[in-house]
Amino acid sequence: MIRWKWAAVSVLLMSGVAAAQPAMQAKLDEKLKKDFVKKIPWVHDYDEALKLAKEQGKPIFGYFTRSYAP
Amino acid sequence: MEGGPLLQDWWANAAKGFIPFLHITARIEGRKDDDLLGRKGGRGFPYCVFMDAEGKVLKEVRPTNEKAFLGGMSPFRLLAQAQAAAAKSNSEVARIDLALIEAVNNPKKDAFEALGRQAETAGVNPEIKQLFVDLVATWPVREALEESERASEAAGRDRSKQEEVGKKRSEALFALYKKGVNVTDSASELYIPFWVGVAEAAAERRDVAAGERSLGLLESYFADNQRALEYFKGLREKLTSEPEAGGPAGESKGG
Repeated sequence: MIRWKWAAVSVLLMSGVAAAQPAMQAKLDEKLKKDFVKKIPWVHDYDEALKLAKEQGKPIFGYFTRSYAP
Repeated sequence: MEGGPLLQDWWANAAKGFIPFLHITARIEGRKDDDLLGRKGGRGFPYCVFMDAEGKVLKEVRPTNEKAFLGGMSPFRLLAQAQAAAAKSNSEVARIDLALIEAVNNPKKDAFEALGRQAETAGVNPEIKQLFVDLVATWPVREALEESERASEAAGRDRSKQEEVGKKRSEALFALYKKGVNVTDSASELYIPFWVGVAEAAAERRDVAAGERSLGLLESYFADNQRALEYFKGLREKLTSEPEAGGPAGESKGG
């Protein structure tokens, strides 16, 4: 019985996470439309940034922000 | 940031000197590198860092304004420039420029004396030389702050111990100031902790001259920060108030 309860809770939690994911993606998409993103040619992939830094002999400036909250 | 400096033209021009990498934490399950902020030592947003081509964090910066940002990035811009020059030329000046700027980015106190002599060589890049000279001049400040950081970690969450650590830090910075040590570059990460320390100790000691100087610089730096200005106002009031019995006030009044 206890196992069943935990299984039910897990399923509920999992479905909650799954339901939240499209909303998170929508917030990320909104963030990517902001003017500051369009102002310069940002590199969005970390491995790509490392590769370009090696090729061009330049340091990386990393700007870390979030999309899930203002 | 996103509605201010990152929309301005000076930023777009400065960004050409490095690889601008934008990371957005999205809390999307399974998204590549979504946890990168924590892996790079960030604890909050926004977080801005310079990294080398291996991803090692070289320095955290606060691009709150043009001067602070360009000042914060210049050691990395000059390092890339010196590396390129040294790769093209075997000249002594190119080698010294590279050694000096590497020391600025990764300082080792033991090397200061020898590098200081080399910095006097004719033809050395004046910008690099100035950064090195500033590094050596402000090294005691860096040491005092690092010592305080270790003490703070050891003190844990004990509030009275943390207050004690803060007081000792202010006193150590004030003593350096009295010996003639100065942090004049407002883009330096030492600038704010140094002058706050001096201001706090000056207020405690009712040292009006030191208090006026440090608070003047801080009020100018934080002109748009009401919370900071309130704190400095409190220090100003303390600076001109009657000393508490048994305190350190009066030891260096007006010095």
